[in-house]
Amino acid sequence: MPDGRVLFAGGFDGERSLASSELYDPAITLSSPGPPLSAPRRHHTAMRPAGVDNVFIFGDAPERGFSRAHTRRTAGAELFVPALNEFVPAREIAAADANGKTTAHTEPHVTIAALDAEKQSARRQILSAYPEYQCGSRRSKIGAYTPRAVELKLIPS
Amino acid sequence: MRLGPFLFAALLTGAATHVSAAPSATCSTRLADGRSFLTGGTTSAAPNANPIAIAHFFENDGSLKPAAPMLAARAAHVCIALQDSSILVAGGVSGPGGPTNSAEIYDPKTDNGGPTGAMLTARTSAAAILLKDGRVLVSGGDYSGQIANTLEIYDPAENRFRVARDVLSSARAGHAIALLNDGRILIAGGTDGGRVLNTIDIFDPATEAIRPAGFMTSPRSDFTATTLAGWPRSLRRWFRR
Repeated sequence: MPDGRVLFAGGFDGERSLASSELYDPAITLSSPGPPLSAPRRHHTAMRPAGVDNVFIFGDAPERGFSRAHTRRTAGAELFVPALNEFVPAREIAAADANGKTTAHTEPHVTIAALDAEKQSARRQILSAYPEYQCGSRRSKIGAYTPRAVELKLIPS
Repeated sequence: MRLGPFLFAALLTGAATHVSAAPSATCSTRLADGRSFLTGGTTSAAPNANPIAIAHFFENDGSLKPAAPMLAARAAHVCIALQDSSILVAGGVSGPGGPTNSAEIYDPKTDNGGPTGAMLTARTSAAAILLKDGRVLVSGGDYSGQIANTLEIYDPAENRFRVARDVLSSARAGHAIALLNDGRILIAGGTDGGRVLNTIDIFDPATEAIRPAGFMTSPRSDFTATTLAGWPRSLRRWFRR
């Protein structure tokens, strides 16, 4: 049974970067407030790998204003887990990403490239076991969800 | 190997992966084999300054492999992996002349690219998505300081863009785009150049009509929209009982 809802996350409202989210149901064209992100994010990336329910969010989290030159970026990544209706933290992304460089990904595991324009180098990490970042197999195990299933591995440049 | 000049997270799309991000200087698209393909960007932190033409494969083992450069330098462009695995790259800032409407097709199997039909409008920071029927929808964006409310559709069978029948309810840049499970396209938020929008449009590829489809609870630009996969497993099991 498809869900079909759309997760809106973060952004900029004209005055400040947003840590809020919304869940939009296209069947009834209604958007409702969702759980908060761990930090305001703008110009970030959200991805849901094939066959995975959760949405992986990483990237820029500027403080406020339009100017990228005056923004602060954080290195944290987080997952939206629909079964919990919560954002949960993942371990930190590469420090290079915290400095505001680019990211990309590959599958089946989520591999993230953080490319440092100043150092002309790349740091790559694998967010392994990501598909295991799901809820438990029994209804009663919804609380047995295990953040430790998410692990970041640094690949030498 | 010069790896550095990519900036910010890019618009990533794929047939099986639901990814969204604010359009930005570098463009990345997911290939069917799981790799990513990165194109263009800038050589400085200033948005859209010094666009470049280089391209890389981001391999599944995390390594970067150089690919043939694009025909034109581009930043803040759109890139989409088509159903035949070739990659459409269009628009963006191409140099001192500003936005370009040129487009090209790259074949990752042969590491060769070539020109294809140009967009009808030169756009930067547009949002694009692969439709279920294999065509590509390009929406909004900035053309020389004006924000666009128009939509274009690229048909790989004809190798050309054409203007869609309808237009967005507002001009939009910095908006989010997502493929709904029924094949329609959600286009939300962004800025019209003067204010940040909370409006939502839904595009029907069959009729090329835009339908206003409600409002977000907050105006948002530079945000993400991600279609969810399914009900929580616990609920799916409950419904099966």
